[in-house]
Amino acid sequence: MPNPALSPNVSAQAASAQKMLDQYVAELRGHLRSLPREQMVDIVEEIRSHIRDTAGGTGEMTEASVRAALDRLGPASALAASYITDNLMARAQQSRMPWTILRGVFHWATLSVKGVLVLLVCVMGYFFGGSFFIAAMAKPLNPKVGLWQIGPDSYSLVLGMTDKWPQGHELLGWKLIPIGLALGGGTILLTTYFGLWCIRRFRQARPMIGLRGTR
Amino acid sequence: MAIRTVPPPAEPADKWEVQLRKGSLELAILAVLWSDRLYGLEIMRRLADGSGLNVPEGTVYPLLNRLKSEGLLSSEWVEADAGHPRKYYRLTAAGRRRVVEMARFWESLSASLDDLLAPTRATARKDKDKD
Repeated sequence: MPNPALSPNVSAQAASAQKMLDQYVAELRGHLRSLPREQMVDIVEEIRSHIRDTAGGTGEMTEASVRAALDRLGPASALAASYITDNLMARAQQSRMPWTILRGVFHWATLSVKGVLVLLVCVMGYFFGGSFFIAAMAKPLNPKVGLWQIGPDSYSLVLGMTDKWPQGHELLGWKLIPIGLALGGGTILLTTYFGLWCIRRFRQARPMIGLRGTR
Repeated sequence: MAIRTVPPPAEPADKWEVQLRKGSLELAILAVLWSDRLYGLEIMRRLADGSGLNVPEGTVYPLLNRLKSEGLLSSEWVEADAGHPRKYYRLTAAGRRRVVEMARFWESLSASLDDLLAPTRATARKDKDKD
């Protein structure tokens, strides 16, 4: 191997290699900011130490060696997503509360397009389910609450937030209570399972152990 | 340069393989830490050199992090000659118990499967001899 110390560009080389390393680590840190600070620093420093080992070995890091090391690790966003979904899965499996799922999927959405789509579906599911659930709970307190037909083809779920009576006629009456509870609860449950399922799928899509000679 | 097309994933056999690899990676990492404390890169090198198991770097570190948060591993930072500190992992008491359990299950499962697979091996050999 040629001795890089003989080259006059060596310090410039080392500096730009260091800069590449710093940039990657800073990006990783940015993606992991939702984790507890102590855990985030621990992870980021471990990855820094790993890159120094793989790119430098016993000698000095070069731009090419750092680039190769970063390629093997994969994009910082993907690496961060693995940490975050692992963390989220652990928390989500302990408490299957909608807000835990939403929080996790929201962080995932900051990392990938797939995450944005899953977030959209989850937000819609919880909104739809939540509305029916709230309507069912509020029906005994406020007679305005209900599913109203306000036009030939348009319906409105009124939650009774304003004093105005809705135009049109109410469709379900007191049946809103069992229907709303079942539909709302069911949708919330389905959304939760969907969110967990997506997160699990996402984790499984990561490359796994391979035998030598296989892909 | 020839472009190699990646075969489409999610074939049933592939899915099974992914699950199997996922499960065995966890056991492999815990087992490699049985007698030594090691840092991430060392773990990967031991798996590759000793057993021919290639593990993507971007998979190992998050997994180590999870095993630690599950209480199976503990970690400590150690100053090294390399000029920068390294994060060493070791098995906790819970981790040791888990490896023993997993190894026991793995061995009994593979023994049962071996018996079941014996006829397929004999038939495959015969088919090969015919060709």
